[in-house]
Amino acid sequence: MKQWFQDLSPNLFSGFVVSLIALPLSLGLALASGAPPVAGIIAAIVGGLVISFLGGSYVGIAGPGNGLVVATLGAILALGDGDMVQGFLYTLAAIVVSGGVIFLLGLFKVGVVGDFFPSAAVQGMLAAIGLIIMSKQLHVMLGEINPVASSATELFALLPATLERLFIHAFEPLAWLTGLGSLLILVLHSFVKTGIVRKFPAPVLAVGYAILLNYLASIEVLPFPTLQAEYLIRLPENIVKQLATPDFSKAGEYTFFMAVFSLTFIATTESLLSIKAIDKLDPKRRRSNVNRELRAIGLATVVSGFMGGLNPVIAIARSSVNVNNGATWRSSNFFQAFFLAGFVLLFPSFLNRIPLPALAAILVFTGYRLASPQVFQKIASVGLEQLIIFSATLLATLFTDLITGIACGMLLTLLMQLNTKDRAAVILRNFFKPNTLLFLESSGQYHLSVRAFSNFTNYVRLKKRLDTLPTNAALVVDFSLCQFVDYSVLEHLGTYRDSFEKSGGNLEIIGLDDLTARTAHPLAPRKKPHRWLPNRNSRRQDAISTWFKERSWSFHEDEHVLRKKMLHFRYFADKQLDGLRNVAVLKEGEGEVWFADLDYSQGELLTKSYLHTSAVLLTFNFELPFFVLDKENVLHRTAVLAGWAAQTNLENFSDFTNNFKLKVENEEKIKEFFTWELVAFFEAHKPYHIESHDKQLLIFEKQRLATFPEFTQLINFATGLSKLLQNR
Amino acid sequence: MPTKPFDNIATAIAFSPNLEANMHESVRITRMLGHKLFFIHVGEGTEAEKENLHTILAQLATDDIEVKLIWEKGDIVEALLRSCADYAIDLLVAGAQPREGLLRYYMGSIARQLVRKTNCSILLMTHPNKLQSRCGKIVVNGIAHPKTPQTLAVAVKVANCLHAGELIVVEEVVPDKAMENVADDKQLQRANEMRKNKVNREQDRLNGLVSPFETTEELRIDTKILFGKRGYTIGHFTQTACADLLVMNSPDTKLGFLDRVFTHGLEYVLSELPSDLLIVHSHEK
Repeated sequence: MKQWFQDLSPNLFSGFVVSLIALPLSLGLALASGAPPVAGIIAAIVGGLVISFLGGSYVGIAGPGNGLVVATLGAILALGDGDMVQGFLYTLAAIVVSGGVIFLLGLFKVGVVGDFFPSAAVQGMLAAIGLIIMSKQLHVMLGEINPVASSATELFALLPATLERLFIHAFEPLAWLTGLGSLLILVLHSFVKTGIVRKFPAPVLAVGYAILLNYLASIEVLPFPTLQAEYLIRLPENIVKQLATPDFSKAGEYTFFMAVFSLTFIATTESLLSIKAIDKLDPKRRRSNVNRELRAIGLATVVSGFMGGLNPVIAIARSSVNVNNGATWRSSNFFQAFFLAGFVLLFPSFLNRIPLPALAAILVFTGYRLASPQVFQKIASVGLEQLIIFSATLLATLFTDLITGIACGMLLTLLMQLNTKDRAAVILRNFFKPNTLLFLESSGQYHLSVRAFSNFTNYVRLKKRLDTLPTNAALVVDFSLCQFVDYSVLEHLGTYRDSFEKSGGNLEIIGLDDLTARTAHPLAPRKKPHRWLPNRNSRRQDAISTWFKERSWSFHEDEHVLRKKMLHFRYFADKQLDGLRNVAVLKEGEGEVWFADLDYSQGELLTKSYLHTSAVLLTFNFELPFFVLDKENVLHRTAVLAGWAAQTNLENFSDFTNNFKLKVENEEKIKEFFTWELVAFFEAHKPYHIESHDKQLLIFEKQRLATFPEFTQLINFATGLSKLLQNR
Repeated sequence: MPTKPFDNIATAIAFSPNLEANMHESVRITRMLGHKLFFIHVGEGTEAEKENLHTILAQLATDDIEVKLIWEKGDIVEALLRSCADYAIDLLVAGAQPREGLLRYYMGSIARQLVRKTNCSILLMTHPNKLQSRCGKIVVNGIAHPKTPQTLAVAVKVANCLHAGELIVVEEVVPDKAMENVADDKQLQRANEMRKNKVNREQDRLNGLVSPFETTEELRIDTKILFGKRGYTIGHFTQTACADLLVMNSPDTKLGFLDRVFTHGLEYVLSELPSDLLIVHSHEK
């Protein structure tokens, strides 16, 4: 409760700004849904009041949503059999029921279902929604208020006819002047980045322009007739008394059930997507309580449905405006509802002056944002497969309905992932099995290992583990036991990486080097390389190679040089060195510093085990005494093989001797070699495993690949050591 | 010479081109882990085959271990179990597929049947003929259970016999409801505190568990706490840590068909062996 009053003024202000945008959007979305305009306003008011008190997000704004336009319109058409008014009453009943279902989803904490859909399919569905909204509103914007068509595709087919009628001046000139002018304002506004214009939200400007135009016509400044009543919003004279009430007489029918299903599905998905997006925008980096928010949305939906309103959802555009205007708490959501209620109750006659073509322009612009060429471009850059899934979902949604569309998208994604025999086997065998392992490494960072495969179907398990970690922790997500990792998972992980980095933590992904992708996009799905799938760098590899380039290290294509050097070391005496990757070298004085990721295997007791490590090899132009040095006895075996297993104590450095295990060939030489400078250097750094051989030193840290920060530490340690030894 | 963890070791043989190699293999294992070796042959054999077998046996004779041949008849699993009881066998060595096919998963292989029914310890080897005298890492379960101390004692003995470098005692912490339900920052904080407490508690227990055994130059004894589904994570960890041997308690109840349909506990490991698996059967004192 304290927070409600703590930041009162910024939230009051942002609530006011948002209510200005919410007004035209709510009216427009309701109209586009085929519902009376006031239904949108009711959804926004009820949503704002209920969700601000009971919800779990911090800066989200509730109101009618873009995605629901299609679901609601579909429900009204299907339930009303052509009678829009009666259809709306049936739909209200479906809204009430869907509210109950959403509440239950939140109660049983199944908010995770929102993460169960492949990213490309969800994006395809959203683009389809954008196109469907545009298909109707383009006509309205140009002055054709009631185009006669039953589907989005037919509406698009009618566009040339509407344009033709526009050019033969069949419409009122003021109508299309309003519509096109509003659209122009919206487009231009999006290009303005600074200045006073930016202070006014675009929809407010567009509506203001439209009202002004009509007013100028009415006082005969403009040589056009004013807009007729059919071109203007019509609100009931007494809103409170004329609320629509739901009609439950169709409950139990199949179409009713489908309407409830799609309303619930879209409301949940849209809200969850928005909440995820808003948490990224939240300046205070708070995590919304998703299930609590769902419960609140469910309750708000029931209330809204009974009062004749649409489904309230969390709307991303309004929420981001909210954040941009300084909102810090849910009170902003309350205030936007409060101001909205104020407008409607105090100035209903003013609202009745808003021209429909202006609202249509706002919707066309919103629809365009959802289905703009950039959206296609973005998904195409991830890869052809994702583009196919995206387009298929889009087309399926356009020609059938939302539920069929998303189902097609999911099925297609799964089929494409199953398309090779190996992958199909991995998926089928491990579909129901757990596949995550989390433990705390001794160095204090979390290690999250994922096995078999990681895609949208089992992402929920990974998410469960991720959610239990504090975002200021250091986390390594290890995919080296995975056969493939899909786009959805990588995209979600990208979001997690953001939130970890913003709150001072660190999330590193390793194990993708072995998997390759079709495109260079960082989120492209990664799988085992084969003939048609050449190797492609992972994000870690890119980071490492950029690091090398900036410091003018040279890359070594021919790994055999290093391989030969590596094999001298006794550490590899009982191991098989399978391969070297990311090999680079730098001249350091008279010597060289080599880096490589090593893949090697140990053919011990019955099973062969595969190991990886990131190692540095230092070469010098003088002989070094033979020794191994480490803290954890990893090199003990090496010393045993060499025949000098006893631990050497350096008398002068008792701390060092207690901490490190040093095993040497010749004690006399070693005592000369380990000066206090060198001992101090070792003590000041992380304990690495070090083996010396002739004129070379091998340094590595863990028996897994180093993450990028570990990599830089390793290189710094190695170059420091190289300098120290050469300067003696 | 470290004390050997087992006395009587048994392995099943059958006439095949690999017979001799397999037998040599078993002798080597026995020399490392036990004193007496029993070859159990189930079924009839021709005279020539029997003679052949005896010649190989004669070659196998060594000073440090005793080798015996047992002839059994009837169903292979039942015959093996019977002779295990008759000859006081305490370790049964069997080869196993690292991963079971879907059909086999539901029908059950011989190795799996043995695991389910046996009354002695059992060593499942995923790659016979690759046995070497050294083994890098051993993972042992550290579950809070009366059987665990004995399992650990056996594991340490095995580790010494195999000259393993590292022995990791692993406890699987199943995050409970309150730890999993992290919806917002407050719950996250609480969940992390709960986890910390639980980890500390388990760590203390593990430390107590390993305290009788000391880390030596040769063998480092480590503990690790894993989060996830019990029975599953230990296999995953074995794979991640590239361990060579996994040592686990024997199941409390005999596993049945339903345990495979609703996978849990040991069944996760059995369905996809992450490494060689030693299931230690505890003797009641």
